[in-house]
Amino acid sequence: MIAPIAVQEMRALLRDGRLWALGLALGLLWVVALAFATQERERAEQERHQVEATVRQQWDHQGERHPHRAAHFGLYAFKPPSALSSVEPGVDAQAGQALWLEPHKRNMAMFSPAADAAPSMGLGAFDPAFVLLALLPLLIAVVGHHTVSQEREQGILRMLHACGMRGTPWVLGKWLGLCLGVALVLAPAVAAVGWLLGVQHSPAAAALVLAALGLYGGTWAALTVLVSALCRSSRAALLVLLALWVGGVFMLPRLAASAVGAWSALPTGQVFWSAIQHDIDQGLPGEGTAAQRLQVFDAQLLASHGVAKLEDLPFGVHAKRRLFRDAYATKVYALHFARLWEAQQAQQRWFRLASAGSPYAAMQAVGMALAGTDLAHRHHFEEAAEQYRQRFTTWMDAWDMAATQGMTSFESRYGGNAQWEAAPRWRYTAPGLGFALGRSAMDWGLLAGWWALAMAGMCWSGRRLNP
Amino acid sequence: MKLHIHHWKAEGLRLRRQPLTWWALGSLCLVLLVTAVFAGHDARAWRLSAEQYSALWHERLEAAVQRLHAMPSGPARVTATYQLGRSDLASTRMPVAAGLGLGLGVQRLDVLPVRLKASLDSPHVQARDPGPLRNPLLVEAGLPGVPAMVALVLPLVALVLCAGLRQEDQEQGRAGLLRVQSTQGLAPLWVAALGWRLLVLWVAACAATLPCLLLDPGATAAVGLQWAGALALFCAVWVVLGGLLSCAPVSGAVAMLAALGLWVALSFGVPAGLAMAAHAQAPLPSRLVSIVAIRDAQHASEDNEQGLAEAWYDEHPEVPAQLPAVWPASFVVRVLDQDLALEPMARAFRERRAQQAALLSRWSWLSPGLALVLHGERLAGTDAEAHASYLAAVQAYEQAWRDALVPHVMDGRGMDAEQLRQLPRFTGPVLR
Repeated sequence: MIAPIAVQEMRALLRDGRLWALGLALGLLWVVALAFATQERERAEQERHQVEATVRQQWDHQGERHPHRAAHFGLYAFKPPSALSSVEPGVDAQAGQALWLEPHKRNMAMFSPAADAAPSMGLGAFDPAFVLLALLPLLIAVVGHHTVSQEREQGILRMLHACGMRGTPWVLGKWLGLCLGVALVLAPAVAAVGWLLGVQHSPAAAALVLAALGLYGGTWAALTVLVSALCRSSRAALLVLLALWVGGVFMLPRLAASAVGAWSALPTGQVFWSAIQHDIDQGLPGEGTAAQRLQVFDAQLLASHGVAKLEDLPFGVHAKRRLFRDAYATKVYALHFARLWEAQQAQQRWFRLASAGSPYAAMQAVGMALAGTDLAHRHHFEEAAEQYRQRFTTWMDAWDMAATQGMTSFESRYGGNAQWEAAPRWRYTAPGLGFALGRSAMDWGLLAGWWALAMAGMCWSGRRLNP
Repeated sequence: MKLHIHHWKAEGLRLRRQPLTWWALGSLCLVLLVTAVFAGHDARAWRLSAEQYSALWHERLEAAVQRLHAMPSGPARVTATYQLGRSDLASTRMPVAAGLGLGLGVQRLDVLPVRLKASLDSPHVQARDPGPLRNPLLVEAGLPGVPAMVALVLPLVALVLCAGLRQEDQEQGRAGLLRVQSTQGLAPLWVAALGWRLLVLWVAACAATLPCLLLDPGATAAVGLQWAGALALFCAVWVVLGGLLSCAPVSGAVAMLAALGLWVALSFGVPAGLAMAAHAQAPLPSRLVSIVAIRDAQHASEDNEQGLAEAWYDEHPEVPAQLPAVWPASFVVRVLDQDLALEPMARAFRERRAQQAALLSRWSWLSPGLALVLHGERLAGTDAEAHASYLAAVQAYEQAWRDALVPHVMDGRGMDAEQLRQLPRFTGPVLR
């Protein structure tokens, strides 16, 4: 019984000019937005490659330098964007683009694109994800709001009821017809984008994106049929759906984000960096001040090598001390950055909970995870960059320690291009699909839960259908 | 005239008795009220921390004076002077004058660099913002600000209230009856219907957004009046558009779809198009490419640090030369040279940003929402022009800061406590 109703509903929708006009307009808008975004991503990616190579070349050709001064020249790490990031830029639009890696210090990424953006309304970028995730539900609501209510208004529902029609299969057929109609009109755009993403990214990721979109669209379609079944007039159904759309897409996630940000605020940069400096200078509980730690370290050095003065040690003392001091600083940085990451994760969990009243936030989170532009991917990149920072600065100090003896002046220049070129190179491999799925499991669960809830509500409305 | 009052009474009663009116206006008020309370609290917090900033300056300065007081003149004091020049003592914050309605544009403070620091280090490689650390996820998803929320929701409510006004009368057969009864045509009736809608929308929007100004201790009645005027204009635009659509020779359902399309186009499409046009006309230089330029400047200055030091002493004969220059003197002249070399690049960023803002401002009338948001930011003192003034003021302050400190790093003696008390303090740009 469901199939004939679905086919009939789909035919009715396809005969209605509104679905074609609005659907093709949305598809076109999506393809255009994606084309621009893809072009921009490719340009940015090309530029990133060039800049990364040039930065390394600048490092390699510093000429004669003191190795510690050369290390302070530093290196940069740039997060490589995935192909899907042109669809969903995620948090990368707000986070910095470049991480400066230098000795002693762990920095935060610089140059957030949002800070350089032209003034705007502040409702989010008009990117492909926004076009699809915000406007697809609107399309479904507009073309499907009268799917049941119109039949009630025209008296058809009463006739069907008199014929003994069962409500649940009927609304399921209506839902399926609505889904098929919308999918058919959007199919060319979806296929083009799916192919593009499948080729550039991975077919599995593209398939998962389409599956998530299917769940998302199916949820809104079920909500549309549910509202249409419950409202007495098509106009009322459209208004309720519009309110749900504005509330679910624009209000709830934004109110949730602001509330979470206000109630569990992160510390200021000043407090954060001061606390790190304090722990480095004064030491973690029970570990003594920096001067005391260094004194003990120097004494151990002298004792273990059986000499009376640091100048007599058979290796570069400054470099050895730096290795000791930086190892401690690294421990302190790791502690504070881990706390910060914990706080951000807690905010994310609260945000997920507070915005669970809308499928939009869950879908957005799934999209960001699959595109590699969520918080977890950013954290993965920043941790990898930090590991590399420790590796290259340690390598530099180890070389300096081996190349010199006793106390050397910072003004002397005894390193050359051969050493700089030999420093380890930065290579970053973004985590795979398993990582994205693992980190977004809760969001997938929420999305599936929303679909199940909307379907259950729709079936319930079918059983209680009032002609 | 009497007849017109009857029209207004009749349309007022009709509007009042529609449950949809109350639902729509109630939702609008609730959403705007919540946004306004958030914005008002943020504005109040910014103002209060601005007052604390003043006290903090004195506290930090006194602590620095105490540190230097016991130190003999020489390398240790030079190092202390240098570290002081790089410390948070010269941190600034974008000032917002009393009399401006910060709550109307406080969200810009989350995105723009508004806590810059004057320093003996180069500003081009400052990777440690002293301002609040932010979760990029929440910034991306957060509330957009009061004017943007008005621009998003109010048009929808206006269009819903105006939807099918005329078409429904025609479809339900009331139009003919009205035409027969009216001696002056239907125009006064439509004017009354739209007038009521304009009035209730305006009152609701003004009342619901008022907390963002009331909670801000710096806001004044003048700003409130300007905001109310802007809201009146904005409401009028959407009510007129809704009214025109309801008069269009199409069915009520088609008119409603057209209204939705118009809303999507004017609220999202046009601003996106204008942003793209601004980017195309005045593209910002690449931040990544700027890193290469920064490193080139760093490399060149390091290679020539002794020459730079000699040149500096030549230009400042009153300071006894300490050659060969060693850290920190050698670092200071390098940074001065780097910033000089990078100034054209920094200027290019500033100019392009100003050009983009000017273009958006010039064409913002194409999108009433964008125009309202930009007007709100102007009333709040967080618009592009105000931020550019702040950047210029920070640059001037940094120059004064360096003029005061660098000679004491270069003379090999360092700064004494009395000189420390004479250090320049950031006063901000000339406020409007």
